[in-house]
Amino acid sequence: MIETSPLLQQLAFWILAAVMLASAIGIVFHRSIVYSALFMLVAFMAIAGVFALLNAPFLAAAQIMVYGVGLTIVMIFGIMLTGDQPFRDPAGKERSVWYALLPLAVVAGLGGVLSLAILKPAASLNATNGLFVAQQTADFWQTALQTLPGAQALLEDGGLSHIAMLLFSKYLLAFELASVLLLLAMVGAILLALRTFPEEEQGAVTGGALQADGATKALSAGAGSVAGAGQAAKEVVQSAAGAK
Amino acid sequence: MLDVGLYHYLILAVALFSIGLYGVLASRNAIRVLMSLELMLNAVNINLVAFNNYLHLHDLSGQVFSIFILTVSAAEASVGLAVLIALFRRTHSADMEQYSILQG
Repeated sequence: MIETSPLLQQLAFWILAAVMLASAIGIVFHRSIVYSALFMLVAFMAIAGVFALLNAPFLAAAQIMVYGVGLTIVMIFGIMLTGDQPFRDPAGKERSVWYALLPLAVVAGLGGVLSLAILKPAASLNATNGLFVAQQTADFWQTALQTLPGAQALLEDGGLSHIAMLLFSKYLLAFELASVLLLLAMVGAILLALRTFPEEEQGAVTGGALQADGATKALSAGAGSVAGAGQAAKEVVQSAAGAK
Repeated sequence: MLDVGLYHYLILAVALFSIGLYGVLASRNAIRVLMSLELMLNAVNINLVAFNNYLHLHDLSGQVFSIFILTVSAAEASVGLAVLIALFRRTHSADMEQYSILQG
């Protein structure tokens, strides 16, 4: 970070990293999904702090607004709409231990390979004083501020005007496509959440499609409506209502 | 070793990505899967910003890229949650194990 003592920077990095990883583990492993959402807030705030350490103050603010506030509230709405359930297995059908071990093996393998790929060249390059700038010393910033426009923009206004110039010149097409994507996502989300299907009413009649019977009926009703035979679906609904 | 450099941020991002991937693969709650996806996207953001800060300071393209990732992940979260609510109305559960309609 420009004009900050290296000691302070190191201290901030280690604290933020510890908080971030601890709350990330909390998101994945805490029993209650509501606590997971609160851990998500903490993790996103820590990530915003890391952005601030990496000379990206605008991104740090955007991170707090979009992730820290917006996304956490959306997730909490999702939790309230779907219920805080502990998901106990029915008796005699416990989940196999492979459901935890297999993902763990995949993650350990991928994380190990990625860490090796990062650390091996890191060791050799540091030893030979190679191409990569591993640490940003005061000398680095003195030369960077004179030669690199990005570094100058960071010193002036945190890079804000520079980012705006890039967004509206070099990345204009991507910017416009992103706005189209947001519009599509909004329309799609409204459409998905508002539309009701005839088989849903049937699901409500049987009191939850959790039973194999209800699930197959819902499936057949879905297949019927897809094939265009709405009549068959209606009959299934009526028969289910009659059975009740 | 204690000096913080590019590699520390990269390793931090790997750790965050791995935790998120485990959450996506092993969670039963569909909302927790969505949260873990956001963690993975954030790990990628940290990588982009770190590379920009350490290797590409003649331009702030990395920060612009992560703004785009921010946009895409907001869209993904809203659509994902809408799909989840549609599924919830059909199966009355947020349990990933109940979402086996496509099995045939």
